[in-house]
Amino acid sequence: MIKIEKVSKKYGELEIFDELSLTIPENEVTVILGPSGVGKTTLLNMISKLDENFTGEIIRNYNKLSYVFQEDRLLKWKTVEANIRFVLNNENKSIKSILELLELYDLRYKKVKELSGGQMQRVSIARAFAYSSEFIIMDEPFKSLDIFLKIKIIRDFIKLMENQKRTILLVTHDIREALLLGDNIYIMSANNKHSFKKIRIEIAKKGRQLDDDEMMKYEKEIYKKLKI
Amino acid sequence: MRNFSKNKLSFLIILITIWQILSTFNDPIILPSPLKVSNEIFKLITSIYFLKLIGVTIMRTFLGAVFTLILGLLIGIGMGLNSKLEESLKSILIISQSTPIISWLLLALIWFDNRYIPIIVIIISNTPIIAINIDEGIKNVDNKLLEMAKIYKISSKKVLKEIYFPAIIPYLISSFKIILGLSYKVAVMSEVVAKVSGGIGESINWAWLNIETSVIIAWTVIIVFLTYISEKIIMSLINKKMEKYI
Repeated sequence: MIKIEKVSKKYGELEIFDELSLTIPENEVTVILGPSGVGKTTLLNMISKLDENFTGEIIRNYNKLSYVFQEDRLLKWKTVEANIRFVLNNENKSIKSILELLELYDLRYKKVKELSGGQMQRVSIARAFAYSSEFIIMDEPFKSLDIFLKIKIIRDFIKLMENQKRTILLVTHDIREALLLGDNIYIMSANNKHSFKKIRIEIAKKGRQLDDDEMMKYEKEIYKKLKI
Repeated sequence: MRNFSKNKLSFLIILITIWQILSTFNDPIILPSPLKVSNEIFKLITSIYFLKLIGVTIMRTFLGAVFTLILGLLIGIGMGLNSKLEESLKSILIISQSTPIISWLLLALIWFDNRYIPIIVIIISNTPIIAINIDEGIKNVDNKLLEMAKIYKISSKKVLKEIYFPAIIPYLISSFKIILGLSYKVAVMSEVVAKVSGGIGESINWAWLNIETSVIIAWTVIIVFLTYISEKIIMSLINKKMEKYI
Protein backbone atom coordinates (compact mmCIF):
# COMPACT_ATOMS: atom_id res chain seq x y z
CA MET A 1 0.00 0.00 0.00
CA ILE A 2 1.16 3.50 -0.79
CA LYS A 3 -0.25 6.32 1.29
CA ILE A 4 0.02 9.91 0.23
CA GLU A 5 -0.59 12.19 3.17
CA LYS A 6 -1.17 15.92 2.94
CA VAL A 7 1.24 16.38 0.10
CA SER A 8 1.61 19.89 -1.27
CA LYS A 9 3.56 20.78 -4.38
CA LYS A 10 4.25 24.07 -6.07
CA TYR A 11 6.07 25.06 -9.24
CA GLY A 12 7.07 28.60 -8.36
CA GLU A 13 3.75 30.37 -7.83
CA LEU A 14 1.72 27.62 -9.45
CA GLU A 15 0.11 25.33 -6.95
CA ILE A 16 -0.27 21.76 -8.22
CA PHE A 17 -1.38 19.94 -5.06
CA ASP A 18 -2.67 21.32 -1.78
CA GLU A 19 -2.48 18.83 1.08
CA LEU A 20 -3.45 16.00 -1.20
CA SER A 21 -4.21 12.67 0.43
CA LEU A 22 -4.59 9.45 -1.51
CA THR A 23 -4.33 5.71 -0.93
CA ILE A 24 -3.14 3.16 -3.46
CA PRO A 25 -4.32 -0.28 -2.30
CA GLU A 26 -2.08 -3.32 -2.50
CA ASN A 27 -2.32 -5.83 -5.36
CA GLU A 28 -4.91 -3.81 -7.22
CA VAL A 29 -4.85 -1.59 -10.26
CA THR A 30 -5.36 2.04 -9.42
CA VAL A 31 -5.93 4.36 -12.34
CA ILE A 32 -5.47 8.10 -12.23
CA LEU A 33 -7.58 9.60 -14.97
CA GLY A 34 -7.30 13.18 -15.98
CA PRO A 35 -6.61 15.65 -18.76
CA SER A 36 -3.09 16.68 -19.74
CA GLY A 37 -1.32 19.30 -17.68
CA VAL A 38 -2.94 18.73 -14.28
CA GLY A 39 0.17 17.21 -12.73
CA LYS A 40 -0.29 13.48 -13.29
CA THR A 41 3.37 12.86 -14.11
CA THR A 42 4.43 15.17 -11.26
CA LEU A 43 2.48 12.98 -8.86
CA LEU A 44 4.14 9.84 -10.22
CA ASN A 45 7.59 11.38 -9.90
CA MET A 46 6.89 12.26 -6.28
CA ILE A 47 5.69 8.75 -5.50
CA SER A 48 8.76 7.22 -7.20
CA LYS A 49 11.19 9.61 -5.45
CA LEU A 50 12.36 11.12 -8.73
CA ASP A 51 10.98 14.39 -7.37
CA GLU A 52 11.50 14.86 -3.65
CA ASN A 53 10.85 18.55 -3.61
CA PHE A 54 7.45 18.69 -1.86
CA THR A 55 5.94 18.93 1.59
CA GLY A 56 3.88 16.25 3.29
CA GLU A 57 4.54 12.55 3.49
CA ILE A 58 4.42 9.56 1.19
CA ILE A 59 4.49 6.18 2.91
CA ARG A 60 5.84 3.44 0.65
CA ASN A 61 5.95 -0.20 1.64
CA TYR A 62 7.61 -1.66 -1.43
CA ASN A 63 11.26 -2.58 -2.01
CA LYS A 64 11.40 -2.56 -5.74
CA LEU A 65 9.58 -0.40 -8.20
CA SER A 66 9.11 -0.63 -11.96
CA TYR A 67 8.28 2.44 -14.00
CA VAL A 68 6.88 2.51 -17.53
CA PHE A 69 7.67 6.05 -18.57
CA GLN A 70 5.80 8.07 -21.15
CA GLU A 71 8.86 7.80 -23.35
CA ASP A 72 10.51 4.43 -23.84
CA ARG A 73 13.78 5.32 -22.00
CA LEU A 74 15.61 2.36 -23.51
CA LEU A 75 19.28 1.94 -24.35
CA LYS A 76 18.76 2.35 -28.09
CA TRP A 77 22.10 0.79 -29.09
CA LYS A 78 21.34 -2.46 -27.27
CA THR A 79 19.13 -5.36 -28.23
CA VAL A 80 15.63 -5.93 -26.88
CA GLU A 81 16.86 -8.75 -24.69
CA ALA A 82 19.87 -6.78 -23.42
CA ASN A 83 17.59 -3.92 -22.43
CA ILE A 84 15.46 -6.20 -20.30
CA ARG A 85 18.48 -8.01 -18.84
CA PHE A 86 19.92 -4.58 -18.01
CA VAL A 87 17.51 -4.23 -15.07
CA LEU A 88 17.72 -7.86 -13.97
CA ASN A 89 21.14 -7.64 -12.27
CA ASN A 90 22.56 -11.04 -13.19
CA GLU A 91 19.30 -12.68 -12.23
CA ASN A 92 19.26 -15.57 -14.64
CA LYS A 93 15.53 -15.83 -14.99
CA SER A 94 13.63 -16.62 -18.14
CA ILE A 95 12.09 -13.69 -19.92
CA LYS A 96 10.65 -15.80 -22.72
CA SER A 97 7.06 -15.75 -21.55
CA ILE A 98 6.90 -12.00 -21.10
CA LEU A 99 8.55 -11.48 -24.51
CA GLU A 100 6.08 -13.84 -26.13
CA LEU A 101 3.13 -12.20 -24.46
CA LEU A 102 4.11 -8.79 -25.78
CA GLU A 103 5.01 -10.22 -29.21
CA LEU A 104 8.66 -9.35 -28.80
CA TYR A 105 10.18 -12.83 -28.80
CA ASP A 106 11.09 -12.79 -32.49
CA LEU A 107 12.58 -9.32 -32.10
CA ARG A 108 14.73 -10.16 -29.08
CA TYR A 109 18.07 -9.90 -30.88
CA LYS A 110 17.17 -6.72 -32.71
CA LYS A 111 18.67 -3.42 -31.63
CA VAL A 112 16.06 -1.17 -30.08
CA LYS A 113 16.84 1.68 -32.49
CA GLU A 114 15.57 -0.54 -35.33
CA LEU A 115 12.14 -0.92 -33.73
CA SER A 116 8.99 1.13 -34.26
CA GLY A 117 7.66 3.43 -31.54
CA GLY A 118 5.00 0.94 -30.52
CA GLN A 119 7.51 -1.89 -30.32
CA MET A 120 9.79 0.23 -28.15
CA GLN A 121 6.94 0.95 -25.79
CA ARG A 122 6.26 -2.77 -25.53
CA VAL A 123 9.91 -3.39 -24.63
CA SER A 124 9.53 -0.79 -21.91
CA ILE A 125 6.45 -2.61 -20.58
CA ALA A 126 8.26 -5.96 -20.77
CA ARG A 127 11.17 -4.50 -18.82
CA ALA A 128 8.84 -3.30 -16.07
CA PHE A 129 7.16 -6.68 -15.72
CA ALA A 130 10.36 -8.74 -15.98
CA TYR A 131 11.79 -6.78 -13.06
CA SER A 132 10.75 -8.42 -9.82
CA SER A 133 9.05 -5.40 -8.30
CA GLU A 134 6.04 -5.27 -6.03
CA PHE A 135 4.85 -1.97 -7.43
CA ILE A 136 4.57 -0.82 -11.04
CA ILE A 137 3.99 2.76 -12.10
CA MET A 138 2.78 3.28 -15.64
CA ASP A 139 2.58 6.72 -17.20
CA GLU A 140 0.35 6.57 -20.28
CA PRO A 141 1.91 3.25 -21.29
CA PHE A 142 -0.33 2.59 -24.29
CA LYS A 143 -0.16 6.06 -25.78
CA SER A 144 2.01 5.30 -28.77
CA LEU A 145 0.22 2.10 -29.75
CA ASP A 146 -2.29 1.89 -32.58
CA ILE A 147 -5.84 0.98 -31.61
CA PHE A 148 -5.61 -2.70 -32.64
CA LEU A 149 -2.44 -3.33 -30.73
CA LYS A 150 -3.76 -1.30 -27.84
CA ILE A 151 -6.81 -3.54 -27.47
CA LYS A 152 -4.65 -6.63 -27.79
CA ILE A 153 -2.09 -5.44 -25.26
CA ILE A 154 -4.76 -4.39 -22.80
CA ARG A 155 -6.20 -7.93 -23.04
CA ASP A 156 -2.73 -9.46 -22.56
CA PHE A 157 -2.08 -7.05 -19.78
CA ILE A 158 -5.16 -8.25 -17.92
CA LYS A 159 -3.91 -11.83 -18.30
CA LEU A 160 -0.51 -10.78 -17.03
CA MET A 161 -2.00 -9.20 -13.94
CA GLU A 162 -3.95 -12.34 -13.13
CA ASN A 163 -0.72 -14.36 -13.00
CA GLN A 164 1.28 -11.92 -10.98
CA LYS A 165 -0.07 -10.09 -8.00
CA ARG A 166 1.38 -6.62 -8.06
CA THR A 167 0.29 -3.17 -7.11
CA ILE A 168 -0.16 -1.07 -10.20
CA LEU A 169 -0.61 2.66 -10.56
CA LEU A 170 -1.58 3.64 -14.07
CA VAL A 171 -1.99 7.16 -15.36
CA THR A 172 -4.05 7.83 -18.46
CA HIS A 173 -6.34 10.30 -20.12
CA ASP A 174 -8.24 7.54 -21.93
CA ILE A 175 -11.54 6.75 -20.20
CA ARG A 176 -11.86 3.34 -21.92
CA GLU A 177 -8.43 2.32 -20.72
CA ALA A 178 -9.37 3.29 -17.18
CA LEU A 179 -12.63 1.35 -17.40
CA LEU A 180 -10.99 -1.81 -18.72
CA LEU A 181 -8.05 -1.88 -16.35
CA GLY A 182 -8.86 -0.12 -13.11
CA ASP A 183 -10.05 -1.53 -9.80
CA ASN A 184 -10.05 1.99 -8.48
CA ILE A 185 -10.26 5.07 -10.64
CA TYR A 186 -9.24 8.44 -9.30
CA ILE A 187 -10.48 11.36 -11.33
CA MET A 188 -8.13 14.28 -11.42
CA SER A 189 -8.89 17.77 -12.63
CA ALA A 190 -7.26 21.16 -12.35
CA ASN A 191 -9.71 22.31 -9.66
CA ASN A 192 -9.14 19.33 -7.38
CA LYS A 193 -5.81 19.95 -5.76
CA HIS A 194 -6.85 18.55 -2.41
CA SER A 195 -8.48 15.20 -3.14
CA PHE A 196 -9.58 13.24 -6.17
CA LYS A 197 -13.03 11.81 -6.79
CA LYS A 198 -12.98 8.04 -6.71
CA ILE A 199 -14.87 5.27 -8.46
CA ARG A 200 -14.51 1.61 -7.64
CA ILE A 201 -15.32 -0.97 -10.31
CA GLU A 202 -16.49 -4.30 -8.95
CA ILE A 203 -16.66 -6.26 -12.21
CA ALA A 204 -13.87 -8.82 -12.80
CA LYS A 205 -11.47 -7.42 -15.43
CA LYS A 206 -11.67 -10.47 -17.65
CA GLY A 207 -15.40 -10.04 -18.11
CA ARG A 208 -15.47 -6.32 -18.78
CA GLN A 209 -17.11 -5.23 -22.02
CA LEU A 210 -17.30 -1.55 -22.74
CA ASP A 211 -20.82 -1.89 -24.22
CA ASP A 212 -22.23 -3.66 -21.15
CA ASP A 213 -24.98 -1.76 -19.34
CA GLU A 214 -23.05 -2.09 -16.13
CA MET A 215 -19.86 -0.66 -17.66
CA MET A 216 -21.84 2.15 -19.36
CA LYS A 217 -23.06 3.18 -15.94
CA TYR A 218 -19.50 3.51 -14.72
CA GLU A 219 -18.62 5.47 -17.81
CA LYS A 220 -21.49 7.90 -17.21
CA GLU A 221 -20.39 8.31 -13.63
CA ILE A 222 -16.89 9.23 -14.80
CA TYR A 223 -18.26 11.80 -17.23
CA LYS A 224 -20.36 13.26 -14.49
CA LYS A 225 -17.38 13.54 -12.16
CA LEU A 226 -15.26 15.03 -14.93
CA LYS A 227 -18.08 17.51 -15.56
CA ILE A 228 -17.79 17.15 -19.32
CA MET B 1 31.30 11.00 -54.44
CA ARG B 2 33.08 10.43 -57.76
CA ASN B 3 32.45 14.02 -58.70
CA PHE B 4 33.93 15.14 -55.44
CA SER B 5 37.20 13.27 -55.95
CA LYS B 6 37.32 14.54 -59.52
CA ASN B 7 37.13 18.08 -58.13
CA LYS B 8 39.88 17.33 -55.68
CA LEU B 9 42.07 15.92 -58.42
CA SER B 10 41.63 18.89 -60.73
CA PHE B 11 42.35 21.25 -57.84
CA LEU B 12 45.56 19.36 -57.13
CA ILE B 13 46.58 19.54 -60.80
CA ILE B 14 45.99 23.32 -60.87
CA LEU B 15 48.01 23.72 -57.68
CA ILE B 16 50.93 21.73 -59.03
CA THR B 17 50.82 23.64 -62.32
CA ILE B 18 51.03 26.99 -60.49
CA TRP B 19 53.85 25.58 -58.37
CA GLN B 20 55.68 24.47 -61.54
CA ILE B 21 55.27 27.90 -63.16
CA LEU B 22 56.45 29.72 -60.03
CA SER B 23 59.44 27.42 -59.64
CA THR B 24 60.73 28.17 -63.16
CA PHE B 25 61.08 31.85 -62.19
CA ASN B 26 62.80 31.12 -58.90
CA ASP B 27 66.03 29.67 -57.66
CA PRO B 28 65.54 26.00 -56.57
CA ILE B 29 66.74 27.02 -53.10
CA ILE B 30 63.71 29.33 -52.80
CA LEU B 31 61.23 27.09 -54.56
CA PRO B 32 62.25 23.72 -56.01
CA SER B 33 60.12 22.30 -58.82
CA PRO B 34 57.49 19.64 -58.18
CA LEU B 35 59.61 17.14 -60.06
CA LYS B 36 62.64 17.80 -57.86
CA VAL B 37 60.52 17.42 -54.76
CA SER B 38 59.05 14.13 -56.00
CA ASN B 39 62.56 12.88 -56.72
CA GLU B 40 63.49 13.85 -53.19
CA ILE B 41 60.45 12.04 -51.79
CA PHE B 42 61.44 8.95 -53.73
CA LYS B 43 65.02 9.22 -52.48
CA LEU B 44 63.84 9.58 -48.88
CA ILE B 45 61.41 6.68 -49.06
CA THR B 46 63.93 4.32 -50.60
CA SER B 47 66.75 5.24 -48.24
CA ILE B 48 67.70 2.66 -45.61
CA TYR B 49 67.04 5.16 -42.82
CA PHE B 50 63.49 5.97 -43.87
CA LEU B 51 61.66 3.36 -41.81
CA LYS B 52 63.75 4.09 -38.77
CA LEU B 53 63.18 7.85 -39.06
CA ILE B 54 59.41 7.67 -39.48
CA GLY B 55 59.21 4.79 -36.99
CA VAL B 56 60.72 6.91 -34.25
CA THR B 57 58.46 9.87 -34.96
CA ILE B 58 55.35 7.65 -35.23
CA MET B 59 56.30 6.02 -31.94
CA ARG B 60 56.63 9.38 -30.19
CA THR B 61 53.38 10.62 -31.69
CA PHE B 62 51.45 7.55 -30.62
CA LEU B 63 52.91 7.42 -27.13
CA GLY B 64 52.04 11.08 -26.72
CA ALA B 65 48.54 10.64 -28.13
CA VAL B 66 47.81 7.59 -25.98
CA PHE B 67 49.05 9.23 -22.77
CA THR B 68 47.02 12.31 -23.70
CA LEU B 69 43.97 10.17 -24.21
CA ILE B 70 44.32 8.46 -20.82
CA LEU B 71 45.05 11.67 -18.93
CA GLY B 72 42.35 13.65 -20.75
CA LEU B 73 39.83 10.90 -20.15
CA LEU B 74 40.56 10.81 -16.42
CA ILE B 75 40.40 14.59 -16.05
CA GLY B 76 37.30 14.84 -18.26
CA ILE B 77 35.43 12.13 -16.35
CA GLY B 78 36.40 13.72 -13.04
CA MET B 79 35.13 17.08 -14.25
CA GLY B 80 31.94 15.67 -15.71
CA LEU B 81 30.99 13.90 -12.51
CA ASN B 82 32.17 16.51 -10.01
CA SER B 83 31.05 20.09 -10.53
CA LYS B 84 33.54 21.50 -8.00
CA LEU B 85 36.43 19.89 -9.83
CA GLU B 86 34.99 21.16 -13.09
CA GLU B 87 34.79 24.71 -11.83
CA SER B 88 38.38 24.75 -10.66
CA LEU B 89 39.85 22.97 -13.68
CA LYS B 90 37.87 24.42 -16.56
CA SER B 91 39.53 27.85 -16.61
CA ILE B 92 42.98 26.30 -16.31
CA LEU B 93 42.23 24.02 -19.25
CA ILE B 94 40.89 26.86 -21.36
CA ILE B 95 43.95 28.99 -20.62
CA SER B 96 46.34 26.15 -21.41
CA GLN B 97 44.40 25.42 -24.58
CA SER B 98 45.00 28.93 -25.85
CA THR B 99 48.67 28.96 -24.81
CA PRO B 100 50.88 28.82 -27.91
CA ILE B 101 52.42 25.40 -28.35
CA ILE B 102 55.81 27.02 -28.94
CA SER B 103 55.69 28.41 -25.36
CA TRP B 104 55.16 24.94 -23.94
CA LEU B 105 57.93 23.69 -26.16
CA LEU B 106 60.44 26.31 -25.02
CA LEU B 107 59.52 25.81 -21.37
CA ALA B 108 59.82 22.05 -21.74
CA LEU B 109 63.21 22.60 -23.26
CA ILE B 110 64.27 24.29 -20.02
CA TRP B 111 62.58 21.86 -17.66
CA PHE B 112 62.98 18.41 -19.18
CA ASP B 113 65.45 16.10 -20.85
CA ASN B 114 65.40 16.57 -24.64
CA ARG B 115 64.48 12.95 -25.36
CA TYR B 116 61.10 13.29 -23.68
CA ILE B 117 60.19 16.68 -25.07
CA PRO B 118 58.05 15.59 -28.06
CA ILE B 119 55.90 13.35 -25.87
CA ILE B 120 55.63 15.88 -23.03
CA VAL B 121 54.63 18.72 -25.34
CA ILE B 122 52.02 16.54 -27.04
CA ILE B 123 50.52 15.68 -23.66
CA ILE B 124 50.51 19.24 -22.33
CA SER B 125 49.11 20.83 -25.46
CA ASN B 126 46.45 18.20 -26.24
CA THR B 127 45.11 16.98 -22.91
CA PRO B 128 42.76 19.98 -22.53
CA ILE B 129 41.10 19.15 -25.86
CA ILE B 130 40.25 15.61 -24.74
CA ALA B 131 39.26 16.64 -21.20
CA ILE B 132 36.93 19.45 -22.32
CA ASN B 133 35.28 17.19 -24.90
CA ILE B 134 34.74 14.33 -22.44
CA ASP B 135 33.30 16.77 -19.90
CA GLU B 136 30.92 18.00 -22.58
CA GLY B 137 29.96 14.42 -23.45
CA ILE B 138 29.15 13.58 -19.84
CA LYS B 139 26.97 16.67 -19.58
CA ASN B 140 25.02 15.45 -22.58
CA VAL B 141 24.17 12.12 -20.98
CA ASP B 142 20.44 11.58 -21.23
CA ASN B 143 19.06 12.47 -17.82
CA LYS B 144 15.97 10.39 -18.57
CA LEU B 145 18.11 7.26 -18.81
CA LEU B 146 19.76 8.12 -15.49
CA GLU B 147 16.32 8.42 -13.89
CA MET B 148 15.38 5.05 -15.34
CA ALA B 149 18.59 3.54 -13.88
CA LYS B 150 17.77 5.06 -10.50
CA ILE B 151 14.27 3.54 -10.49
CA TYR B 152 15.59 0.09 -11.37
CA LYS B 153 18.41 0.39 -8.79
CA ILE B 154 21.20 -0.14 -11.32
CA SER B 155 24.67 -0.14 -9.73
CA SER B 156 26.79 2.94 -10.38
CA LYS B 157 29.45 0.82 -12.03
CA LYS B 158 26.91 -0.44 -14.55
CA VAL B 159 25.51 3.06 -15.08
CA LEU B 160 29.02 4.31 -15.85
CA LYS B 161 29.70 1.48 -18.27
CA GLU B 162 26.35 1.24 -19.99
CA ILE B 163 25.00 4.80 -19.96
CA TYR B 164 27.91 7.24 -19.52
CA PHE B 165 30.47 5.41 -21.63
CA PRO B 166 28.32 5.12 -24.78
CA ALA B 167 27.41 8.80 -24.43
CA ILE B 168 31.04 9.94 -24.44
CA ILE B 169 32.13 7.67 -27.29
CA PRO B 170 31.32 10.15 -30.10
CA TYR B 171 33.10 12.95 -28.22
CA LEU B 172 36.07 10.69 -27.56
CA ILE B 173 36.35 9.67 -31.21
CA SER B 174 36.10 13.18 -32.61
CA SER B 175 38.56 14.65 -30.12
CA PHE B 176 41.03 11.81 -30.61
CA LYS B 177 40.88 12.46 -34.34
CA ILE B 178 41.79 16.10 -33.73
CA ILE B 179 44.69 15.35 -31.40
CA LEU B 180 46.12 12.65 -33.63
CA GLY B 181 46.71 15.16 -36.42
CA LEU B 182 47.98 17.76 -33.99
CA SER B 183 50.31 15.27 -32.33
CA TYR B 184 52.25 14.65 -35.56
CA LYS B 185 52.80 18.35 -36.04
CA VAL B 186 53.83 18.85 -32.42
CA ALA B 187 56.13 15.81 -32.50
CA VAL B 188 58.02 16.97 -35.60
CA MET B 189 58.15 20.57 -34.40
CA SER B 190 59.56 19.47 -31.04
CA GLU B 191 62.10 17.25 -32.76
CA VAL B 192 63.26 20.18 -34.88
CA VAL B 193 63.32 22.85 -32.18
CA ALA B 194 64.67 20.68 -29.36
CA LYS B 195 67.08 18.97 -31.76
CA VAL B 196 65.92 15.56 -30.60
CA SER B 197 67.74 12.86 -32.49
CA GLY B 198 66.34 9.86 -34.32
CA GLY B 199 63.13 11.09 -35.92
CA ILE B 200 61.90 13.00 -38.95
CA GLY B 201 62.76 16.24 -37.17
CA GLU B 202 66.45 15.43 -37.18
CA SER B 203 66.43 14.88 -40.92
CA ILE B 204 64.52 18.15 -41.43
CA ASN B 205 67.06 19.92 -39.24
CA TRP B 206 69.89 18.68 -41.45
CA ALA B 207 68.06 19.78 -44.55
CA TRP B 208 67.49 23.21 -43.06
CA LEU B 209 71.16 23.60 -42.09
CA ASN B 210 72.20 22.62 -45.64
CA ILE B 211 69.46 24.78 -47.21
CA GLU B 212 67.93 21.76 -48.96
CA THR B 213 64.50 23.27 -49.52
CA SER B 214 63.35 20.32 -51.59
CA VAL B 215 64.02 17.92 -48.71
CA ILE B 216 62.03 20.10 -46.30
CA ILE B 217 59.06 20.14 -48.70
CA ALA B 218 59.45 16.41 -49.34
CA TRP B 219 59.27 15.65 -45.63
CA THR B 220 56.26 17.94 -45.31
CA VAL B 221 54.42 15.96 -47.98
CA ILE B 222 55.38 12.70 -46.25
CA ILE B 223 54.14 13.97 -42.86
CA VAL B 224 50.80 15.05 -44.32
CA PHE B 225 50.44 11.64 -45.93
CA LEU B 226 51.48 9.88 -42.72
CA THR B 227 48.89 11.83 -40.70
CA TYR B 228 46.19 10.99 -43.21
CA ILE B 229 47.04 7.27 -43.26
CA SER B 230 47.27 6.88 -39.47
CA GLU B 231 43.99 8.72 -39.03
CA LYS B 232 42.32 6.34 -41.49
CA ILE B 233 43.78 3.23 -39.84
CA ILE B 234 43.03 4.30 -36.27
CA MET B 235 39.52 5.44 -37.11
CA SER B 236 38.62 2.22 -38.87
CA LEU B 237 39.93 0.25 -35.86
CA ILE B 238 37.99 2.42 -33.42
CA ASN B 239 34.81 2.37 -35.46
CA LYS B 240 34.89 -1.41 -35.60
CA LYS B 241 35.31 -1.64 -31.83
CA MET B 242 32.66 0.94 -31.11
CA GLU B 243 29.99 -0.42 -33.40
CA LYS B 244 28.08 -1.95 -30.51
CA TYR B 245 27.63 1.45 -28.90
CA ILE B 246 26.32 3.24 -31.96
